Amino acid sequence: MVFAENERAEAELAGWLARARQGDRHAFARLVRAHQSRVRLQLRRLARGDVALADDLAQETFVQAWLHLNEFRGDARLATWLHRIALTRFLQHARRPRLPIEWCEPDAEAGPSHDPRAAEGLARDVERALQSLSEIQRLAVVHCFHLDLSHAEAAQVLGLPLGTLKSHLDRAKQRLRGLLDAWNPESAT
Amino acid sequence: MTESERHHDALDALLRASVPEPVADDGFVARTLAAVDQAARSLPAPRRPTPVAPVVLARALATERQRQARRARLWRWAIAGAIAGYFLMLAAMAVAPAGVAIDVPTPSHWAPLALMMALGAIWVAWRELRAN
Repeated sequence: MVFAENERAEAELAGWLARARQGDRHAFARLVRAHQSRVRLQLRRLARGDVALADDLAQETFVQAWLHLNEFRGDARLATWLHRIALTRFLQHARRPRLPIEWCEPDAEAGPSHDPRAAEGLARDVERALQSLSEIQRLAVVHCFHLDLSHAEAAQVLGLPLGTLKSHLDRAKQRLRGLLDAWNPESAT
Repeated sequence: MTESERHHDALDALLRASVPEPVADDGFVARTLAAVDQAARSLPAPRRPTPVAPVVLARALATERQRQARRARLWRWAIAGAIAGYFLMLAAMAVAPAGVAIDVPTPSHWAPLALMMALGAIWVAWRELRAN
């Protein structure tokens, strides 16, 4: 049932994409509406919570997508293509001399102060645990788990070989397992 | 399933459960479409080939006509020269006091000249054909 719904949604997206390629702005608006949340989430992660910067870059991402829509060959999902543009826009921005973002080193001391009773505690602890990872490990986790991309898609977005991405992901998970051990029901028992 | 795999599965579920809430639109789509419109307007219009000025066309046409006229004049003079030469030869034969005796040489004498003339004619014809 869920599978059929997903297929119908994908078919709708493909229809909007085809119309947007022919210059239909309304169809493009539907595509923006469908993907804006994930792209903005990705950029908020990249920008370390700088919402204004993330939204500006997300807007630029969609403008670029509109201008180059005919270059999208369709051999990847549209979401993957958009995430790739978003990452490129962010990296272009980060190379500017007056950078509002500081790429701070991972804080080795940082660890989650877990509060398993609070519903939002998990998200906060995961967030803090993610901050203790290296930049590339954090990006690997965010793209694979929070943006729900496959390993191959995440590797494509980040411009890494698949094996490299997997090894970053493994190292990140090893570290996270230690930091989030208190959330593991098996370790609690 | 090994202990490590079980740990990884639990961690995967934990990470997936910690996905942030979807970001609300809050006018983002409208702002983005306005930016798209602005970007589309600021794109340079596709360049059209520069139209040729009428005076340039007229000059080119006049030059071509002059070239054709010069060539035609040259051919007319060449044909007129050949005909005049022929009549001059007839006149010379008619007024010759001792008459005219045509002595045809053996082919070994005139063949090289004929061959040279044929080659020259072919070369001129080829050049004309290419020029047109």
